[in-house]
Amino acid sequence: MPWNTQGGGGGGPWGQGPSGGGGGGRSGGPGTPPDLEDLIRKGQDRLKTVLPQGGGGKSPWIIGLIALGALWAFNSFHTIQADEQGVVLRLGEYQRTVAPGLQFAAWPIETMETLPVEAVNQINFGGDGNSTSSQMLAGDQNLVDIRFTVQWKISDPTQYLFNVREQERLVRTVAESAMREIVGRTPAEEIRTRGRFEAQEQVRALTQAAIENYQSGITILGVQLEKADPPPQVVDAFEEVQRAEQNQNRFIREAEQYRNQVLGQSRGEASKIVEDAKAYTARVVNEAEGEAQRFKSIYAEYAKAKDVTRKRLFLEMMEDVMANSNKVIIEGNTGGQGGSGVVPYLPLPEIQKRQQQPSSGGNQ
Amino acid sequence: MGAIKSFGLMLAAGAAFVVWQSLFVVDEREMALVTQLGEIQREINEPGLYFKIPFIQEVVQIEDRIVFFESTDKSVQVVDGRRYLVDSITMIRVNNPRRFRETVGANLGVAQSRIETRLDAALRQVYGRRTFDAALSKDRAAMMREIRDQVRAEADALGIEVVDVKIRRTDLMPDVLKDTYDRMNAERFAEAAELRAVGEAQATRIKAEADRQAVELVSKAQREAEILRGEGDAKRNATFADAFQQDPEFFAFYRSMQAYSKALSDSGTTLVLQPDSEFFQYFGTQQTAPAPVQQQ
Repeated sequence: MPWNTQGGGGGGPWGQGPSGGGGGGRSGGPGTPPDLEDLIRKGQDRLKTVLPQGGGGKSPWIIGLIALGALWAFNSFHTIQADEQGVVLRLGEYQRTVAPGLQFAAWPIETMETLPVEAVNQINFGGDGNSTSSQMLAGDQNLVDIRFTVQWKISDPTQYLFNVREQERLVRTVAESAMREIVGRTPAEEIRTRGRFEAQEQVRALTQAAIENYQSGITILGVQLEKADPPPQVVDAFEEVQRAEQNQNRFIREAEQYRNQVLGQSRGEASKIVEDAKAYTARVVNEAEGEAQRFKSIYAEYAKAKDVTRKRLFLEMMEDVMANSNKVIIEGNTGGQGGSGVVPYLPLPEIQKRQQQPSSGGNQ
Repeated sequence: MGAIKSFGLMLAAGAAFVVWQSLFVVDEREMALVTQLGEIQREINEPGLYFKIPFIQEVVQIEDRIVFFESTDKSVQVVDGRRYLVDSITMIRVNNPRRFRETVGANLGVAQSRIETRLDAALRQVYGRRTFDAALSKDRAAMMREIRDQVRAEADALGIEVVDVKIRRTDLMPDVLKDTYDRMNAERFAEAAELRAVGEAQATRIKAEADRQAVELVSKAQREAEILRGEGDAKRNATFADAFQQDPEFFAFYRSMQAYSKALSDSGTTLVLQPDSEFFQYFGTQQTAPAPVQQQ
């Protein structure tokens, strides 16, 4: 209350009535100067009596005036910063809104309130993840750990000043209510993922609508959903799901690896089988053709001299066989039907022993 | 002289005090009541400078802005007996200063506790008619309106307008909270297990499929191989038959020669022979065969 502050010192002049109220009283109404001067004189006299040793006589009076003037000027001139606006009240009543610069409000009749209208204010919600207060119940009864910020600014200085007490706290509570309402409508999974941007916009609109309802002169610039995570109490389980996804992928990759390996091997094996068969066919056919041709050639010669060739072939064969084998020749006449003969004794075991000895001796 | 002066000074000071006592300013953010011995004389709704009778009349300033109070951690029950923990905010504004003064002595705190009592009842009633799910989400706006309307009558009797009631928090009770965490955990773990099982099933299927394809590939190749071999054998037979058909008798002889040669020519074969075979035609008979043969 301005009255309280100035009630003691400068209260006198005001007593003359607000009708005369201009500046400090020097240039007051034309009809009043005598009274005023009279009062000043009286005051001066009284001062003199109160302070017996006045010194230079007039000087304390002047000093007092200068001090009063300085106090007045100090309270009447206001520097409004570039991002501010001033609201001037005259005797408690709204008078005008003033732009940045040096502005005058005739104190104490007028008072100036400056408001940072361009400043963007930010409110943070849910700082630490562990408090349950940042956990909100989503539409599917799951909990979501929410962190978000709200930016707001003053859009109407007079509404801001005159309609709501505790403006920032109002924004805070209304925004939190809006966020909880929107989260409560949305499944947790959606809030955490694709529903984020939509939720931000819905919260902004809801908050703005409520704030406008109170004519609080505040504009909600934006709502940022910074974090929407599972609560710390269940984070492990959510990570477990991610691990399981990784495992699932790994199982499938491993199986695919196995498939590629097995199929590669069996393709190779299959080609080998086919190629082997082709080789066999080629060999068999070629051999047959060669052999057939050989027979044909021999036959052509044989046809020319049948007996001789036949004999020759027989003898060659016999020669070949005889050359490489052990032979026991028994004369037919000696052991024959002649009667007196010797029974030929064929020592088969010995023959076999003899056969083995050279080979074993050779090994040693 | 001095006595007069000091008397004048005291008079001026007294006058100033009287003037100060008789003037008051009502701010844009306020309303005021002028009371005389506790009785309301005037009600001032507009800002400005006002007079009153000094010492006898008093001014009661009353907030003319929206103020709000929070009502926290109220436990309310829904239809099926489950409970929520509810925070609410009530925005109020004095709209009848006279009644406000008469009923609660122009004291916002007293008014607040009166309204809060009614608010509790309204919360309980409004929640008590909702199901658990509805109370949380879709009915919220309607519930806030209902609560506001219920509180309105009570507040109006105090000269206060309820501008709005907002539900801020609708949370689970601490004991239910733990169950909820457990359920969320269980759900996630089940999901994880299912993911793994699906992965394993798919892996098994891929492996089995690969094994089948491998068997198919190899057996197909074997079929082809047998066909090829058969074709080769057939061609071989045809070739031989074609050649040997020319003279079956000679073929028999010739092939026998080859077979004997191959079968018997290994060293180590022991032959027991009578020299009267064709091979020994000239062996051991001196009369018919001359020496030259042996010499050769």
